[in-house]
Amino acid sequence: MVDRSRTPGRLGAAALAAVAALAAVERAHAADCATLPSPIYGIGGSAPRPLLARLGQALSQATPPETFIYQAPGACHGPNYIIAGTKLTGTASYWDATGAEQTCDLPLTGADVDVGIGNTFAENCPGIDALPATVGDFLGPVNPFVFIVPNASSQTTISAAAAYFVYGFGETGQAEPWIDESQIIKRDPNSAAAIIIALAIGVPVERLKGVDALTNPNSVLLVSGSPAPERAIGFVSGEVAEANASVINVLAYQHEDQTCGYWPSSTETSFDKRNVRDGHYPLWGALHFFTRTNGSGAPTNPAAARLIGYFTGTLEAPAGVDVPAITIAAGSIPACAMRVQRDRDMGPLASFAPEEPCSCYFEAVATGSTSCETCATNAECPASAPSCRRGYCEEY
Amino acid sequence: MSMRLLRRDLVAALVTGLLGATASVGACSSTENQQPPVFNATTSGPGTGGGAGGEGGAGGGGGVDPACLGPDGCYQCAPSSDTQFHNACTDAQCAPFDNAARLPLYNGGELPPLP
Repeated sequence: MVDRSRTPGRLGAAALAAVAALAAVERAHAADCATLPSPIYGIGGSAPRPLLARLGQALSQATPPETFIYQAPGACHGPNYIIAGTKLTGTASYWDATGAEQTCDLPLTGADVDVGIGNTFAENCPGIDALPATVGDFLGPVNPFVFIVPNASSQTTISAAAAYFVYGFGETGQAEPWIDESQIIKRDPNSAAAIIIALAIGVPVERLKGVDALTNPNSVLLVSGSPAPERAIGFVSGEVAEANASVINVLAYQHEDQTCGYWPSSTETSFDKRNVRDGHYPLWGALHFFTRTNGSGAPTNPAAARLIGYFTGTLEAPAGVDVPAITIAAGSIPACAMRVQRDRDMGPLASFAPEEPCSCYFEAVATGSTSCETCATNAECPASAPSCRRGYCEEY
Repeated sequence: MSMRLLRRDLVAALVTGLLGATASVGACSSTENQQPPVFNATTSGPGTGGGAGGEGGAGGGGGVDPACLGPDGCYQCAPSSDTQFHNACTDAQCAPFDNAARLPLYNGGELPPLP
């Protein structure tokens, strides 16, 4: 009997081969990573790749410029590399000042990883029971995860129960139209997308049925290029889905205690992420930055401290590098725009009141408009929204 | 699977204890949506329209304060449990997935164990 879970379909194999060929061409022209200005070395998931690409571009444009160098084999490689002290080898991506993704060669002896990056808690990763006391976990923005189908599919919604049959049973699940395991696209247990989806639908991540796409972008390729679009389904980060909206559709998701499925945003086509921010849409995970820390919990690695500081706000980013704006434009949600939080993936939701809320700013950047009043100082704001933050009157 | 069954039993118990809601449409604004409300006293146990573990109910206390039931059976007080967050009153668009009609193995929410 053929184990289809490890055998990509013909089209999938062709698409992945094309990606590999392109990568080979890139490698032929690769620069030496160590010669790039102020390199910051990271490894982890492909779910936040759109955000990291925008950040990399902004840092390359900064004065003085910095270079974010990244490998994306899967979220769980982030904490595992940091814990084990594994070096980066081979080639890695970085983004130049035009935003173009480039490839550079890592030193033959390897490069030390400054920061591991992924959209899952380390404890969900293979081989990690708990983070050592010498490794810190710094939280970044929230990234939704979504089920996707090709544009040509007529499907608009999926429930947790349906996904349980699709990804837990495959062909025998009888969850039409998703019964062809060659068209069910999944990820391996090192993937944050797989971990969060598996937790949500109650299927152990190592038992997900389907074809392993290896990365979020490859999931889009395999789903969008399916020869049987009605039968194709996959899951990716919201960031990657938004970046590929022209070729895939996002399904509404109905959790086990809901009677209707929701999209991450308030409508199928909007970008306000309201359902993630208020708790209606449960499939999401915060970005985690893993790095070595001292006895006070501060990063010991200067490059990691810089990158993490830009996201947490403890360090002013270089001029022109607006991390919240970059985050929102990439499709993620800064913590200041969230109204719910969790302390573990798919754990219980709790109300969240950010110290310095930015919901108005978020809506303005994400959707291009907001009902909030604009302001320059608190004096210009009404009593109902008295705090002027990032140019908008927030509720406190 | 035992955790799933445990949660489903809890949810079913909570739903059975609900009071007050009488609306016949769901908690969101979809014109497609003709699903039963989550918070409905006439809903008993897992079954129609619920997700992997059947329909939800309000978390905690074994019932829902009638004052917290919205006009469509949604939850209109400040949410404090997952089910309340998931079903808080909203004007967001939604699209129901009819588990009972579309999933031959659904069995009223009693999901079979993985093969």
